[in-house]
Amino acid sequence: MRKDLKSPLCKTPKMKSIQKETRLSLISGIILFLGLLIVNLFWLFYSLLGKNHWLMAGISVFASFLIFVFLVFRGLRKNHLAKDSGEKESDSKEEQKSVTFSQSNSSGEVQKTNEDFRKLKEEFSKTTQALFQRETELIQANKKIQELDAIKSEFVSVAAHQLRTPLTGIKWSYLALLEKETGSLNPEQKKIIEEGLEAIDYAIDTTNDLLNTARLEEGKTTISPEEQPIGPVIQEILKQHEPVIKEKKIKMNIDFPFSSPLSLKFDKEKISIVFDNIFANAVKYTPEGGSIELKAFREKDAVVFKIKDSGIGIPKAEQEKVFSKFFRAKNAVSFQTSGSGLGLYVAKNIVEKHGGEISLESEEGAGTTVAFSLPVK
Amino acid sequence: MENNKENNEQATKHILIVEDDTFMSSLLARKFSSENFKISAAANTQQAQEILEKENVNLVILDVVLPGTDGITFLKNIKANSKYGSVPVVIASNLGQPEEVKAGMNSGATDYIVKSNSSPGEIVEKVKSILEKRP
Repeated sequence: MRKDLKSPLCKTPKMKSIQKETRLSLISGIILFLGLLIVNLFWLFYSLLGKNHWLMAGISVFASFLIFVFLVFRGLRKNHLAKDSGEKESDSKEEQKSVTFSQSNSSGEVQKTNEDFRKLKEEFSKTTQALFQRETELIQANKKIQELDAIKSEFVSVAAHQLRTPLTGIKWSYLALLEKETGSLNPEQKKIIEEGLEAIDYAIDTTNDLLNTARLEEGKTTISPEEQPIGPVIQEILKQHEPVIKEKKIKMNIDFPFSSPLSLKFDKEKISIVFDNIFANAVKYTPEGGSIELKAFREKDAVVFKIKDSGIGIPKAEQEKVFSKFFRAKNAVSFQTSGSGLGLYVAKNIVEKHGGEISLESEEGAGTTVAFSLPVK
Repeated sequence: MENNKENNEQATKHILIVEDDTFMSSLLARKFSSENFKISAAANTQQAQEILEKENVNLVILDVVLPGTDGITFLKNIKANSKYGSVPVVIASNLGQPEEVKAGMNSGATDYIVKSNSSPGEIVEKVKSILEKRP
């Protein structure tokens, strides 16, 4: 006869304990219900009782008595539970003993189960090991990515420095010649030097554009906005484009007072890049004698800047790509071979980082309008 | 006559250019000389320190990428020196990423110029404006 077999109908001490516990819980519940009922009825009929103090006192005493009885039963139940938990512990020890006993008796089955357990344990151990290995690999891969990112960042910085250094040397020497530091130049020499300077400035601009793009791609372009007037920023950028504007006899219509007290929260260096890139395009693609307009106006919670030129425009089919990296319209390439196709891409990223929007309208042969907004708040 | 000469000497400001590229250094020196500045040139920070120790320098134009000690470390050394710590230092470098500019300014530079985006004439004007503001 096996010792661990127990009939479900048998009244074990465990079951007795459950029944006792249920009884005590039921009595406590009924008492609590009665107590609450009396208290509630008392409050409900309080006004009807008037000034019958004896009745009120009686009800209070009775309600208190019921609460006292409830607490006594609750205490009894707790004691019983504590006692029961001790019994359960010893029961569990006994059960363990009986399992060991049964193991020795049904060795075949148990051995098979044990073998299954061993296999499962081994499998679990292998899976855990594989997971740890995968985690280590992931940590190493992540570290490598971070290292590569740092190398890439350093490379971009060093490359920019190495490209800029010889260009600066050429630029400064051409400037020395142009500023007649070594004597005056004849018109032909002057023209050659001026064109050489333009080529160098283009190479420097492209280097800067590539550097800005690399930083945008890395997500490193952070903005540090400060409340400041926008007028002087636009004025400074226009000053830089003045020589070409004069040379091409472009008419400038500025509907914005540079001395305007209009202050916005923006990153001066980054917004200068936006204005510079948009004006550079306008000046570059506007033929001689053309015009460029600048307007600024308030629209809801933002200030909108509109730069309109009478340039070559962009074919309709190509307009959706204007803010893409390295995009240059076909007519732009044939009009002016130089251009990195990064200006509007960089401008869009910077404007959006400020919480603004940028858009473009264009008609081939008639001109282009670039509008961008900067939030007021 | 002698009085005039004295006044001119008083007005002449001494600029120390710390630049390892001698070609660029000479172009910058030429521009400053044409504007009546006294120029000293150093190709590394050791030479620059010797000049600072011996002479009365009014302003330093400092490159960042230099052989031996780099410009930022040298700038910190200048600012920590009791004798010439108050001399304004303008960084002129072709490193121009925001964190590089920030590192220079945080180390005590008065201004930071990216050489490729500037001309010797503009650097002279910037130096003049800094010196005018000083007593």
